[in-house]
This record gives sequence, structure tokens and C-alpha cells, in this order.
Amino acid sequence: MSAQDILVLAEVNQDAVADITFELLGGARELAGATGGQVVAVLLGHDVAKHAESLSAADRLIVIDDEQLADFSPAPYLAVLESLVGSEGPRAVLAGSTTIGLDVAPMLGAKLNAPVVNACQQVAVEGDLLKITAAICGGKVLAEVEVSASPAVLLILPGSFRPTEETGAATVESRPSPVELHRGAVTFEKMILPAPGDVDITQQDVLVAVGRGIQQEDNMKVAEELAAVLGGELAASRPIIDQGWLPTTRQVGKSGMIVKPKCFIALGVSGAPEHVEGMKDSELIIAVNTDPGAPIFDVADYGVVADLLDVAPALTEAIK
Amino acid sequence: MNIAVVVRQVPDLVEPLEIDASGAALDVDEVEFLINETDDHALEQALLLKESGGGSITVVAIDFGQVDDVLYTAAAKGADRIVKIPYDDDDRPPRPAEAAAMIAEAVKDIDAELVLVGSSAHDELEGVLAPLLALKLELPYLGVIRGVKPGEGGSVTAFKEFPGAAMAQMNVKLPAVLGILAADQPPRYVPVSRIRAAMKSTEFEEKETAAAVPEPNVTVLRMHHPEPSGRAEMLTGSEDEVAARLAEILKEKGVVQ
Amino acid sequence: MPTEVTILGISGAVWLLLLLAICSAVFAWRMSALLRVLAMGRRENRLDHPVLRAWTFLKEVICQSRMLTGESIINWAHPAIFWGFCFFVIASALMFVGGIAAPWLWIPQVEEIPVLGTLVDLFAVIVLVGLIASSIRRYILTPPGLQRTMDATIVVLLIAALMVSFLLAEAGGYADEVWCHAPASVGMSENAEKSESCPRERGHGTQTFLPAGTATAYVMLAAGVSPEGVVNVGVTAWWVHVAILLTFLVYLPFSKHMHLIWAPFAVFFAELPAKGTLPAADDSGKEPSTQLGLFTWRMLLSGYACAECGRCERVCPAVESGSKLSPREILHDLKSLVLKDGIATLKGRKPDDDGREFIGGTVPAEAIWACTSCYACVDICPVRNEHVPIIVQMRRKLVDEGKVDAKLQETLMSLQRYGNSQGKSARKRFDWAKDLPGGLKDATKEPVDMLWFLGDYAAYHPSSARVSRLVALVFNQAGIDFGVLAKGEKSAGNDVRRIGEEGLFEMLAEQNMKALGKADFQRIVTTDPHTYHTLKHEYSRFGLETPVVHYSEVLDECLRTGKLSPKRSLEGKAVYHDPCYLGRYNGIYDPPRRVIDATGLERVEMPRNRENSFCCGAGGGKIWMEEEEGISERPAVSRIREALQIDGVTHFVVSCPKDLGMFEDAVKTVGAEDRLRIIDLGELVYEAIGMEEV
Repeated sequence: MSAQDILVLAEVNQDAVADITFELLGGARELAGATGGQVVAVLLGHDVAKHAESLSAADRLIVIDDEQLADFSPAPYLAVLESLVGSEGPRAVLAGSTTIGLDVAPMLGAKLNAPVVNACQQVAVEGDLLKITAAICGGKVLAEVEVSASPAVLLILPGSFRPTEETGAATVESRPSPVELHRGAVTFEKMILPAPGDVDITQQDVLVAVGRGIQQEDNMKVAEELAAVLGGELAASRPIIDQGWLPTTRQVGKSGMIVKPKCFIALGVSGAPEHVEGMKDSELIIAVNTDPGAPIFDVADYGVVADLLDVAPALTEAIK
Repeated sequence: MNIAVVVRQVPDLVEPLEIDASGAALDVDEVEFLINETDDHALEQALLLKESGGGSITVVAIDFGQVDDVLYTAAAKGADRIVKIPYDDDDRPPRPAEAAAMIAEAVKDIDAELVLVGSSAHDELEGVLAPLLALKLELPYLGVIRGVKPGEGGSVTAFKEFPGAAMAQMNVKLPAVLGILAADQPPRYVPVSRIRAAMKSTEFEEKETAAAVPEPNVTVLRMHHPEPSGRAEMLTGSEDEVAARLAEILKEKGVVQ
Repeated sequence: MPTEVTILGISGAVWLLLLLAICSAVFAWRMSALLRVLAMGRRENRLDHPVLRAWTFLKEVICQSRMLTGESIINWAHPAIFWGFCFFVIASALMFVGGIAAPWLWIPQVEEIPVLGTLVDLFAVIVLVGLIASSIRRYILTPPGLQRTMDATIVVLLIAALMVSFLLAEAGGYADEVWCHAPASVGMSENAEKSESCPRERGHGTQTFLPAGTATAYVMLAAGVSPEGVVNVGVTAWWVHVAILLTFLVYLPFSKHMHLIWAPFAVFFAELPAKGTLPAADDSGKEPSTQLGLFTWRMLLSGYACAECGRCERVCPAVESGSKLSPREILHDLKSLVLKDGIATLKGRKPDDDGREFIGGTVPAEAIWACTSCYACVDICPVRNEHVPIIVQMRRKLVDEGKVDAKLQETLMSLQRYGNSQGKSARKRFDWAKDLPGGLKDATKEPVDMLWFLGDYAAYHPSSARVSRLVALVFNQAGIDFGVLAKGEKSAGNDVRRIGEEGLFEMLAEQNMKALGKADFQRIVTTDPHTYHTLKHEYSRFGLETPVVHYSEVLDECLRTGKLSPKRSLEGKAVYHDPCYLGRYNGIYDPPRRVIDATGLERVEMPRNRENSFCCGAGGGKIWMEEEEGISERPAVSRIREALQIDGVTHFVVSCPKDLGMFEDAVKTVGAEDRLRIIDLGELVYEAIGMEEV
């Protein structure tokens, strides 16, 4: 327990530790390295100790197990965290900018009279200060801010930190709730899961998107094969959807889905603004198009001027 | 049901966002403001609730930017009362904590059973208004909500978004503050003729507040635009060479093992 | 006269008078109801331009010009039946007057009037042939959009019976004469005693040449009917004829064929002089008491006047692409509404519409939104019905209720906010001219001869904005003194109006007028036909008086006066696509064609050209909407296929910024981008005058 610790609010979704938690632990490890403190993960819930192992990147894992924490509700979470953070006194609290983090972290900051920074992308330690870059206005403006007070409550944008391979001391402290929890005004009733139907392209890590360059429906299999070897799914620009070659759930663009996969491969997509708006935030963009002037090359990381019908099968083979 | 809806102004991202001379804030003179998108959804959700179960809607806003346009539009859509909170500083939009303090005072007088507010805004840097407002009002809070249905015995059913397109169905006893991400339906279109009619017929209620404004505890050093990412690195060669290089890149980036 | 009989002790003339009085009363009662229903519509002045109206009436009603230039090889049938109808109105009037007056006074009948009698006699046959021809078309060939209704069958049979009974009555009247003069070979001379009285005193007539009536008598006599028999049949046929006429009088205002009564009025009250200038929205703020009040009286009249010929259906691009829209059906539904709601309201009842809304219910919203406002239906309608304004009127209601699809809503919000449909910053409207040598003049800062009003697509759409730059270079080359509204130009609002967002249109127009008021210029030029139409015809109520020209006219003028001269002759075979708002709406067909000719390209016409041009599918705000489900082929694609039918075609020339994007997409969908180049008229000139890429 030190004023140089970095506290991470761990999240469990549908019985699995959320990706953002691993990212936060990765970030926290770097920060703790700079402050000389420890990484303290806090896991709230009921019957969640089983996830301890996967949180080994933390030096300490505090598990608060209480029936009232079984399903998320802001008030009990806030009560526990207020007490816990108060007693732990860390340098910073990292929460994901998620459905849970957004509900809890701002109030936590206010309760503790601690600075809260939203939309954090980078965090660095400079002596007694934390220097933070936050992406506001939809990422169009970066704000560089500093906070001196401890603890600082930071809402971290997903994708800001990389998960770490490092492991910490990973001691697990299971505790009862430090405060008595009551059923508040907000009660969980049930979880509604999406009906099993077509894939949700916004949730895919790899998307292979086809555009007009695919020319005919028969050629779709070229893209399908590539998507299959990459473990991804097919998406498309509007003309393909218009042709009825893929359902509308696969449309990427302003009027379709906004996707941010780890890898987006655009085959024969010219890159109309409507489409680009839906995919520009993908981590890695590879574009194949016969037209060297196609605007898709302005947003892509790697470009190939060639016929997708030549390149895509070759790539499928190369990956196999 | 008596519903209060909080709407606020955010910079329009379609227009260029200039940084002012201090280098640490947006140049408000150059920024065009529009309604915060999630607040627009909050208003729509209120209208839907009113349509299904009756009641009245009071829209509350801080007088900043081009808020009058937003308020007339809200009136044209069916808001019953409009409360405008005077705000002196033309150069700096209120921070979330400031806004929460001011709005809470105005909302207290409305005697609303349900307070709806957008669950976030893209220009929020130092905290988030919706939960802070709940804290100031000492009301229960639930945010990131996609849809609200009237419930039994002074409660509503709210649907909170979770990853993987899942939604938690939550019962919320009123009074409460809900942070709306999306209404059951997208905000409706209101034709210009109706907005123009509202401009003639709507009276704003001014509500001075004397809320204690919390001191900022975050220092903004600089604001700037992200470096534009350059054009794609073009790969050349035969299709097999290109494919091999691409496979390599995919491996480097961890897309394939 | 056949009324010189006594039936049940009462004179035939009295019977006739009685029947006529009863039927006329029914007719008058019904017509007055129909007129009072029309009066439930919104007011609109359609008595302006009386000379033009009279001329149009003469041309289109009396001379049947729209029917003669029609689509079908039997387009003579309708004028034949119509003119026959006109002559028979005279004949019938004389029959009634003569029949009633018979006991006291002899009124000459039509067959006793030379020339007129002959014409009526001949028309009886012509009408019969016309009926047969149109029945073959309706029942055997049946073009799409033409219905085989019971109503139509009844009317055809009734008219046929009218003609036949007329001929029989005629034959009866002349049977004795025919008999007297019959050559012996016909075998009618055995009644020798009759011949003494030949020719029988027929009274007052002169010898009129009546080939059909005489022939009918001949045929009957030859078939062995006695002259008395022919006379008796004639008397019966006369009464049958009268009975059918009276039946018609009662039946007509209740049937589909009420178009016969109303069509001439519909033509007289047509939209004149300019096409497609929509009526302003009702800004009284009062909710109309019935759904009828949403439409103008002339729109309601459309329902009465519609003959359900289906021409509108056959030219409609939405229909061809498999949309739910059917312009004929919309008028039919409107007519049903007018009759049902209107009559119910007259009787002081609530309309019995099962709580079903007309707009968005009876007429599905998809159909209302499917219209591209191309005006082909209005242009071809023989009774000058105004389908497009009716559809826009229905859209206004949907917009007022906020019932617009998500994509359209986004566009309208963008127009409200940024003054353009593209969701772009107004500050970027002239970004395409950033690197233009010499830059663009700002007409609000220095006077210019010509103010270039861009329009959204020419300003923002990547392909069209590129063309805008080329057009600017060409204008510079031609020494044209032009400028733009560097700050303040917004969408002119053509599509906004057609969407039915009249308030937004007015707002945009007011904003544009404010900006225009600050500028100094002599005339306005635009590359966009939609903008052109609206500025030219729909801004006058906001006070715009400056002439408006389309760039195709300017380029044509420059090429003809030598301000621009082609340096090289372009090679290839070009087709030109007439934009709806330039061609059909404003009649500008030749200037763009002359420009193409000047570039050296060989110009050929697509099958659908000039006033029959086929819409690209973008107009009327359609470009801003989500695609309707169940569309078989988009109009632009169908248009490209039409062009590709032409052997060796290389250039598809457009003169509208929206066309450029639409057809660039379509040619890719067809996979013919290597064979067919979609090129703007401006770029064509740019290449022909040999300007290097600057």
C-alpha cells in the first residue's frame, strides 16, 4: 500500500475478464514502473475469484465478493470503491471508458475530490505530476493535461494501452465489502443477449471488405477464402450491399456500421467518404485497388495497386 | 411523468476546430456549436415516454453557444417548458463539474421524477456531466442507456449497454437520473416550419443559479490536432511478392500467428 | 318523330320530357356534389394566362394533340371517338328537342342537315371501328398499366349500343325512301302499291347523303325485313338510343368515364405557363378539416379527370425499376378518397376510412418517396394531371409528421445546419477552387457579369467538384467575367422542395436571397439543372429577377461566337443524356447537343431522348434516401444499358452534377467503365479547346 500505486478497476463481462482490463494492466505496469509503486487490481463481483489467475499482471489483486455486486449497479460499486480507494490511497485509478467505468469513475473522483480525466490515450509520470493526453472531440483534438493531486481518476479509451506479458507478484486478497451494501434504487433484472443471427462486424478483429472491384457475385468466394484464413468476417461497401451480395448487417460506412477492427483489408473498395468514415479508425488498413488514385490509399497503412482477384488468392496462399 | 431533460452545446466536428491563442483551449469564436448528440437522444427518449404515458417535459440548458436554436427545436418537438440558465463566460464552455452544479440547482425546482441527460459528450475532458449531476441532485444514477420503458410503481425499466451487443435490463426506482446513449428511436425530424412557429410562440424561463463552482483540479497545458497519418506505404512487385510481404506485415502486427 | 306515339295513354313527347327531366336532375345533383367536393380543396388561382389556357384547350381538347402524338399505333382511336362524341352531342340535343317538340313543332334532325348529317352518319361507323380497335388494345394486347375493368367494359358496350341504335333509327327513318329507290335487283319491288306514294312525305328535310344509315336500311331490307319492320325497328332503336343516352347521363358522373366530363376542364386549368413550379405550402397554420384540404382543388380534379389510361405508368422510372410507386394508382386512390371522404363530408358524416390514413396508409409511404420528380408522367398525361405536385403534397404531410427515413433526415438536418446536403462545412464550399489559377472572384466584393451559383453537388461531390474546376478554367479561357458567392451560398433548395420540406426551402431561399442581395451581377449561371430550375422559376416569390442560364447555353454561345474555339476534334461516338430539369422541365435540348457537335464527337441519340429522356433516378431528393426494398434495377443502370445498345458508343455526355455521380456508379455496376466514358459537357469542352491540365 503506497501513494505510488496504480489501481486498476477490473471488469468481467459475461463471465470473462474484459479486454480493456488487460490493456489497463499493461498501462498500469508501465506507470508503476515509473512511480516505483505497485499495480493493484480491484475486482468487484460475486463468485469472481476464479478470474484471479488471468489477472496475474497485477502485483496485488483485491477481490471484493458480495452478492450485491453480482451484477453491475453504480451505487454499490461506488460505495466499495470510495472506501477502498480512500484506504489504499493510490497515485492513480485507471478505469476503462466503458459502460461500467463511465458510470462509476466520474462520481468516484467527485466523492474523493480527486481530479478526473476523461478520454485518456496516453499517461506518463513526470515527478509528482501525471501528464496525460486525452483525445476529445471525436479524436480531432488532443488535449495535453497535467494533474498533481493524488489519486487521479483516469478514464482510459479502449485501445490506448497494450496488454502486457509481464506478471506481477499476483497476490490475491479476497475481502468482504468494506461497507455494508444495500439493494439501491437500481436493480438488475436480466441480461439480454443479441439473437443469434448474422455476425456483428463491429465485434470482429479482422474484416475483409469488398467493394465494386469484386465485379461479380461469383468472385465473392475469393474474399471469403481470405477472410477464412485470417479468422475474420466479410464486410462490404454500399454497392455490394445494393447488389444484394451481402446482407445490410455487413455494410461499413456512415450509413452502415462503424468498425474498428485490428485489421481491415479493403479489396476493390475505392474509399468513398461515406465508407471511409466507417472504417478509418481500424488499427491496420490494407487496401488493394486497381486505381492508384483511389482515396482508400489515403487512409490505408499499406496499399497495393493491383487487381484484387490476383492479390487476394495469392495472399490466402501465403498465409496458409 | 414529469421529466427534466438536460441539453448542452458541443463543438460541431464538421467545422474546423481551431485552437485559441493560449494554445490550451478551443477557439470558441471559430467553433460552431450544436446539440450534444446523446442529449438529443435524451430528449427523444423523454418525448417517447411522454407519448406513451403522458406527463410534461422541461428542457434545461446553460445559455452558451447557439443554444437558442436547440431550445426552439426542442419546443417544436414537444417540450412543454424551457429553462435557460444564464452563463457569463462566452469564451469558455462550462466544465462538467461546473455545469452539474448549475444545472442541479435549476433541476431541483422542477420537481422532476426523471432526469434524462446524454450519458457523455465528446468535449468532456474533466469528468462526465451525467453522473456528476446525479451526485449533485443526490439521486440514483445509471448511464450508457439505450432505451427506457415506463415501469410499475414509480419505476422505469432502463436498458444498459454492455459489450458484445448485450443489454442489461435494469429496474430504476424514481426519482433518478439516467444517462442516455441512445433513445428507443433515433431523434425525430422536426420540419423548419414548426421550428419557426416555435420561435414565435415559445417563452424561455430564465433561471439564475448561484451554485458554488468547484475549482478546476486538472491543468490543460496544450491542445493540438493529431498528426495526420500519411498515405499508405505502397507495395509493388508481382502478386506473389506483394502477397508474401502482406503476410509478413499481418504476422508482425499479430493478426496472424 | 318516334315520339308521336302514345304509351299508356300518355304522349311519347311527354314521356321523353319526363325522363329527361328526371335524369338531368340526377346528373345535376351528382355534379353539384362533385363540385362542392372540389371546393374542399385548397385554393389556387388557375385563371391566370387566359389566352394561353384557351390556346391549350383548343390544341389539346379540341384538336386532341396529346392523343395524336401519343404512344400507340392506334392513337387515332381516341380522337375519332372524341370527335364522334362531339358530333353526337349535337345529334342528341336535336333528338331530345325535336322529340319533345314534335306534337307542336318540327325541329330538324341532324340527318336532315347537309354535311353535318353526313359527318354524324360517318362518325357512327368510325366510332364503332375506334371502339373495336381500342378494345383489341385493351383486352388482347393489354399494355402494362391499362386495366380491364368492368367499368370500361360497360362504357364500351354502351357507346357501341349508342352507335348501333343510331344507325338503326336512321335506317328506320329512311327505310321507305330506300325501299322506293331500291333497284329491282335488290328484290324489293313487289310492294308496288307503296311506290305510288314515293317519295313519301317525310316532312321538312332535304336529301342528305347518309351512307351508313342508308346501307343499314339496305342490309335490313335485303335480309327480308319489311319496310314497316325497318321503320318499327327504327322507332324502337330511337327509343333505345334515347334510353342509353339518359343512362349515360346518370351513369357518367358515377363512373370512371367521368373523365369525359372533367378532362376538358382539367386541361383548361392545367399548370401554366412553367412546368413544375409547386404551389407554396399552406401557411395558414390551420389543420384542414378533411384530408382533402391537404390538396389543391386542381389536384382533387385530377382524380375526376383521370381516364386511367396508364400512360404515366409506362414512362415512370420508378415503376420500371420495380418500385411500389404507381402514378396511376395514386390518382386512382386520390379519386376514391375524393369521392368517399368528400361525399361523406357533404352528408355531414365523418369519413369512413377505418382510421386509415390516406397518406402513408392507402398510398404507402414507400410509393410516395419513390418518385424522382422527373415529370415524365405529368408530361405525357393526356388530361394534364399533376402527379408530381400531388406526390410532393403528400410528402409535405409526411415531413410535417417527421416521417422521413434516417438517411433523408440526416440530409435535411445537414441542410438546416450547414446549408448543404453533403454534411460538409459551409467554409469548404469552394475548396475545389483552392488552386485555381487567378482564384475565384467574390461577387460580393467586386461586380461581375455572371454569378456562378454552384449548388451542392458541383461544390462538394468529388467528381463534380473536379468538373467545376474545369468549367471555371473554360470560363476564364472564354473571357467570361464571373464570380461566386464566396460566403453565403447555400443549396438552392430544389430537392428540398420536392422532398416536401417547404419551410426549409423557404429558409434556404431567404438565406440565398440575402447573400445574392450583397452581390453585384447581371445574370446567374449554374451547371446544375435542379438549381437552374428553382432559381429561374421558384425564386421570383423571394424577389429574384435576374436572368438565369445553364452553362450548356453559355458554352454553346461561346462556341458559336468564337469566344471558345475547339483546337482539336475529339474522336468517338457520344450519346447525350437530357437531364429532367433541363430538358423536360425547361425545354433546353439543343444547346448541349450543339456543344457536343462542336467538339467533333459523332452524336447519336438514345431511344429515349429529349422529352422522352429517362431519369437517372437521383431527382426529387431520391439521391438522399435509402434504397427502396425490392428494386429490380436502378434507373441509372437501365439508362447505361440503353446507351450500350448503340454500336460503338464511347462517350456518355451529361450536363448535370448529379448525373455524373449517378452514371459513374451505374457504369461500374454494369462493368462497362472501360467501354463507356461518363463525361461532363464542361470537361468535353475543356478537352476540345485543348487546355492543358493546369
